[in-house]
Amino acid sequence: MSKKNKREANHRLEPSFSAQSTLARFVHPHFKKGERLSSAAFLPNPGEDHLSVNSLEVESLPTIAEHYRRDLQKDEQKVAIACRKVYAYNKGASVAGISVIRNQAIGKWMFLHEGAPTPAYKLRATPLSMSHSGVEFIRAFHDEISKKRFSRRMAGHPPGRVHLL
Amino acid sequence: MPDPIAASDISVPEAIVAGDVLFGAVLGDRSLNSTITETFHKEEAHPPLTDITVRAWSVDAPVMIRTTNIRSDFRYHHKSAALSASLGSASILITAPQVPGNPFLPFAEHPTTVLPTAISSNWNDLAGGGLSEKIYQRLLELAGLTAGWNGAGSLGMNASSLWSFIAFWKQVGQFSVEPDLVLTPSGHLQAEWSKNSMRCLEIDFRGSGENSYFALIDGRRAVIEGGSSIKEILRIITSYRDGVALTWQYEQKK
Repeated sequence: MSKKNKREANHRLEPSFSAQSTLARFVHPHFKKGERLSSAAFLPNPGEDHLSVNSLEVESLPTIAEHYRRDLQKDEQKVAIACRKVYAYNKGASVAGISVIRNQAIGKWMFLHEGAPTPAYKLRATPLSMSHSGVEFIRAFHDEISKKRFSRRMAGHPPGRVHLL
Repeated sequence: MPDPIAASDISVPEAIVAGDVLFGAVLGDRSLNSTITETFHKEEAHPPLTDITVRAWSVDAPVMIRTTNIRSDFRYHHKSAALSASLGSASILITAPQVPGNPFLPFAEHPTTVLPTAISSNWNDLAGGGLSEKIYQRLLELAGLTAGWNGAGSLGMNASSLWSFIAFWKQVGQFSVEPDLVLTPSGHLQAEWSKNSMRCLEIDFRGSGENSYFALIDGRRAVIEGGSSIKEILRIITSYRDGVALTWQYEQKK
C-alpha cells in the first residue's frame, strides 16, 4: 500500500460532521497578510448556496492541500488553509442569527431553511476532490450584515489555525 | 483642428492587447487638444482582417495621450497585430512584431501597461485621489484578478466600488494610516484597519447609491456595524473616539 493510500486508509467516505471534526477552507493568497486573515476569506462566491470546505474526515490535510494547490491556487507555492472545527462554524452561524441544532436521531446538524429542517453540512464530493463539502446554512443569511458577521467570526480565530502547506 | 502629426512623431509601444489598455504615446513637446482614433486590425485570424474596435484617445497633457475606457477583447487575437492611429488628416501604422509563446502577454522588451477596466474607468479619480504608490500598486494587483479568481462565481473588481474607495480616501487619507486592501468574492473592494485580533475596522465599498458595509470592533468597548452610505459611515467612524480606528495598524506578535 502506498504512503498516500495508507494515509487515506483511516478516513471515511461519509463524514459525520461531528462538532469536533475539522473543515478546511482554501484561503486565496491575497486574503492573508502576515498572520492576519481577511474576513473576505469566508465569504461565499456570488451564486453559491453553500460555502465550499473540505472534510478532514474524508481526506488528509496534505491531500486536500495538493488539491488546493493544483486546482485552486494553480501554482507550486505553499497554500494557505484555514481549519475550523464544526462547532466553530456553528458558533459563526449563531453570531449571524442562524440556529444550528443537532438532530440526535439522524446524527446531523440541522438549520431551518424556508421553514424546513435542512442539513447544515453536506458532502459534495467532486471528481477533483472526494472530501469537498458544503457549509449549507449560509443560504439562510438574508442580508449582507449576517454574512459579514459570520465571515468576521470565522476569520477572527487565532492565526495558528491557518496552515501553510 | 491641430496640425497633423507625422508618424515619426508618435511612438506607441508595440503589443498585443487584451482588455483595457493604456498606451503612453510620447509626442515630444507638442501639445494636443484633440482626439486620436485608433483602429485595431485583426490579421491572420479567423475571420481575417476584421476591425476589432475603434476608440477615442483623449489628450490629457502636452506630452501624454492616454486612452479612456478602451474595451477591446483580443483574447482570440494571434501574433501579429497592426495598430493604426490617425490624428487630423495624418495617420500612422505601427505593426507589432511576432509574439512568441502566449500572445496575450505583454512583451518584456516592449512593456505595455494593460489596465483592468476598474482602473481605467477611474483613471482621473485615481490620479487625483492622493493615493500612495503602495496603495496604487495594491489596487492594480487586485484589479488584475479576473472573474473566477477565487473559484467559480467570484468576480473581478467592481469599478464603482473602487470609485467609492477613492472618494472615501480623498477625505481621510490625510489622517488615516494605509489600510490593507482586499477584493471580496463579489468584486468589491474592502479596506481593513486592525490593531490586533480584538480591534479592527473594515469597510466593504459598494457603488454610489448603494449601501456600503462596515464594522468597527474595539475590543469589549464597542462593536458598531451596519450598512449605510459612505458619507454616513465616514461620519460614524470619525466620530468614534476621534477616528482612532483609522490609525490602527497591525501589531505582529513577537
